[in-house]
Amino acid sequence: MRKWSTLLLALVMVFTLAACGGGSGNGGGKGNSGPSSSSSGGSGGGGGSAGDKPVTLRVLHWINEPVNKFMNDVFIPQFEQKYPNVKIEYTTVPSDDTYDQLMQTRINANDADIMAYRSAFVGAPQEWSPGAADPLWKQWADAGLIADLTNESFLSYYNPKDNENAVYYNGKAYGVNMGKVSFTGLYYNKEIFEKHNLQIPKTWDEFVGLLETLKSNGVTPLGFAGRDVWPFNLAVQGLQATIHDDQLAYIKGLWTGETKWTDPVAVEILEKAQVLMNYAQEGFMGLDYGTLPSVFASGQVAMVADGTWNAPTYASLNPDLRFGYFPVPGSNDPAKNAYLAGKYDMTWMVVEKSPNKEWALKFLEELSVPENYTAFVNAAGFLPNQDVKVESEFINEIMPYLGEFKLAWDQLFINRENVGQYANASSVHAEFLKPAGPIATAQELAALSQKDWDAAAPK
Amino acid sequence: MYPFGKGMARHLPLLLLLIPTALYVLLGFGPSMVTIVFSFTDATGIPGTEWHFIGWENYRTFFTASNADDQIKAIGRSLYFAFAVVLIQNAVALFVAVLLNRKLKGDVFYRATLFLPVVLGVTVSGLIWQLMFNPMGGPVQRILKMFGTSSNFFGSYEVAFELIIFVQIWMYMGYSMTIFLAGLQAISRDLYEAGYIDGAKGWTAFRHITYPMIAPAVTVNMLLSIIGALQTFDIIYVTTGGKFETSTLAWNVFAAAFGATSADYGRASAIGMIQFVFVLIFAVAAMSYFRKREVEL
Amino acid sequence: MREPYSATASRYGVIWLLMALYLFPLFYLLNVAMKTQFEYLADPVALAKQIRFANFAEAWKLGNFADYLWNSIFYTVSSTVLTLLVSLIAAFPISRGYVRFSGFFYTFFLISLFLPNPLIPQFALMNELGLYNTQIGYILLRTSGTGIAFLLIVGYVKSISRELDEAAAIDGCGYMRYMFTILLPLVKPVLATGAILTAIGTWNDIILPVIYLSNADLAPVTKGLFAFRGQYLNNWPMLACGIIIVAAPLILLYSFVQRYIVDGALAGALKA
Repeated sequence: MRKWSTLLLALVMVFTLAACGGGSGNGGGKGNSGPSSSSSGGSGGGGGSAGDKPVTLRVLHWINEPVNKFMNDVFIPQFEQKYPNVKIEYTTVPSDDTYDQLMQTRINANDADIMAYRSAFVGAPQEWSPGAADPLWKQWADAGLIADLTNESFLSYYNPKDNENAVYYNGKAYGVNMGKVSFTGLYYNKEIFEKHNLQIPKTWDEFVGLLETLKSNGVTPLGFAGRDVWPFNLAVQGLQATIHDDQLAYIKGLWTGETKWTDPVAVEILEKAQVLMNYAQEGFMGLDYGTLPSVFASGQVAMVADGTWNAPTYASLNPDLRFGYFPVPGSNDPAKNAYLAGKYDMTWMVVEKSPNKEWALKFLEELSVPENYTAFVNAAGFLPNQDVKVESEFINEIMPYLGEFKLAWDQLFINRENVGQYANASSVHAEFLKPAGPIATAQELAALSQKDWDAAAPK
Repeated sequence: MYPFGKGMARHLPLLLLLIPTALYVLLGFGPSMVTIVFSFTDATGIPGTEWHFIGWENYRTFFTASNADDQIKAIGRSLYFAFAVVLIQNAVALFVAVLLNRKLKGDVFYRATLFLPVVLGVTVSGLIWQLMFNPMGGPVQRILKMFGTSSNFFGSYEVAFELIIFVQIWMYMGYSMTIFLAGLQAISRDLYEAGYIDGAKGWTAFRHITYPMIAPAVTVNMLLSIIGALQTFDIIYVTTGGKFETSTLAWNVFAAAFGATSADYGRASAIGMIQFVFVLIFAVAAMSYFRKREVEL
Repeated sequence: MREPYSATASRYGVIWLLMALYLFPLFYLLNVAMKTQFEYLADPVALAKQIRFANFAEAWKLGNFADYLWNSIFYTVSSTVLTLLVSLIAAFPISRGYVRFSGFFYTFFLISLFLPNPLIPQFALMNELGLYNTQIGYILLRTSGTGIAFLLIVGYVKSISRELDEAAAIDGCGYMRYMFTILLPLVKPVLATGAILTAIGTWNDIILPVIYLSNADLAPVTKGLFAFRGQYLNNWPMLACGIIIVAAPLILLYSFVQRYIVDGALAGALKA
């Protein structure tokens, strides 16, 4: 009896001690800041000296294979070699809600130094959108949680116009944007197209004809990752970009009441989205985004809806695959269909209260140096924000569609607070339509969306 | 009458009791009370922002905002989940326990297998069933094909939630079954023998002998299970992340506070309080039951 | 009482259906683990072309499964042991009335089962205390002296005669010594049940680790495996290997321990 309880107590002691000892992983926000020599001038200054205190730089990013690989295999070792006292903790998680949750908890607990934000600083409420919620970046900037980088010299490496569009707010720059991506198009398998004598469709009718041809030849025309919903909405945004004459005007109109969700142009978009779904692979609503590349790379579908950021993934998955990208031709006007829209992609932000702020800035400085930046942009498949040459054949092929860079719907849309599920978030919800969801016609869905939108109108 | 000493030693139990009490107040009771307070404010998780008392605003928004419908549906789903899981899980568990309540060949193996998912854990179980419910040619899809239908499984507005309930039951059925089995095995064989002589077998035996013997433990277990089921959402996290109309109140609290677009602690707390109201109903039932048993003891 | 043959046959029939429902997914998992990625995509259901273990080695390299398993075991064992201790310390005096206002304490602790969701203030508090992203913080969160274990012990202690306390006291045994050396072994049956319940809760917890254990090396199996899934979404065979790497030691461990679990549940249920 006695031995039993003594053993038990001993076990508890051991465990408690182990917990205390092994315990608090990182420097929990109370660590010392880096060396006081702040060298924000010039390109990357000298390397750290052996006398500098060891620093762990916590960088948060989502999973994007090509970029993660570049960071892990190229940039981070390079940086750590140059500054031996700095160790970089590069954390990546899936790019859906998981990442947003991580950003939130980390910044609220002051447990990160650098974070990547999914887009540029768009979506701030305007005068025509009274009562709209502040996007997270704005809440953070207003609360002083992300650092003001306006006077950092490395910002000047980037095109002023891109900086202006992407990272400026109230006259200050709060981040560094790494480049643009486009996502309103479809990847297409060149071999399959050649086999069936197909050309890139310039109008909607041509497109539908192409879909029919493929289907009647036993090829699955389209692949969507419906399970995560947003990948499917990329194609819908493609429709919106080519059907709307002016997306921003329409959005403003929704707020002022001039336009409605039930307008013919909006219903047209929903109907065409439904057509796309009917030509998609079976069970597409259950396919998650991570599996999508393999489905395309293995030739199971002829086209997939995805963003240009994933081109390197496709290339590495199947080096023999020949693929291209074209805008979803939503209208029957070839001129309107000849544009790809997209967004400014990842923006690095520095956590203001970070104890390692000096080193965070240095990190961004190194990354912004044209030599490193070019390597990054080539690895990531982004459209550069600096005046550098991009190697990717894929990117160069789609340059004609890019022209004056157009923002996609989800970058322009400002939503109302607490709006119901048929109108919430940042895209129209074609996935509620059959075959994906329970609603039969586009008109029905549009009416429901309008109802939710009206109910959320500011009082 | 305390036999372990007088004077200073008399205070030892109280001193020791302070440990669990402190832990409880600091990490349990305290935060719960603060939730009540938060629900009347516009507190956010963003450090450095001021917060203010806004009275019943959060509650009002919950019930009258444009997305109130969705929230009400989430309440419905919370209750649906709690009842479906608890009732079905326990019914099946009881049935299987009765089934296994005999000397059977390999009964240790059967019991162990049914309990296995509990040990494997929620992530493993959730992922295994995602594999099984793969809509692009997975095993279950193949079977459905043979019957001429198909489904999007976890990507389907129609069945995603039901599938979640299924996985939850699959996971914990073995655990309930083990408890029931233990209880059943405590019932003396003689009772059954006597009943058999009087002509009671099968279902009658169950109704009049088995059930009354285990009823008290069952009731308590079920009440506590319902409370637990109203608050759990781990399985939702692992399978659908709340999409396709699988969100419940518990999930919404988490999403509102730690989610993608907001750190709205005030609103999340209000949702938590509404969840609490439902828990309270079952809590009162459980408490009065405990009271009765307490007296008996 | 022998039952008719048809009843026995249908009994076994149902049992085997259940076995299929519980075992087939595991075998399917093994099958998927042995395919290549394209093999799986081409036909998810077909039998793997060959027995291939290379995937396992790769998955092991890519994920920190040893860490995840160790973390899970560490968190579960420590929080369970601490919970039992703390519950004992709370339950004994309350059950015996050795503390003033023991009735009040009992009710106060009892309502812990039915309190409003504390998630948010807990998070704020843990940050303040600097316990965010620490192992000790997480373990503390999972330790509670007011849960089911507490209730079970309170009930059970009532069935142990007071005279035992008094006899021990007369023999010179102090309060603490009595609790840990004499009472503790006596309450083993409910301790076993309490231990199992508490352990299951912590073992299967994914939400709290997601919130509080941000660092990858602190993650338990639940979070770690889920993160692995996030990394290798496009490679189910790899993921299947990861799942098996996690599940196999569990199944092994479980096969040794399961007898105690069932016995424990049996004993606890009998006495409860």
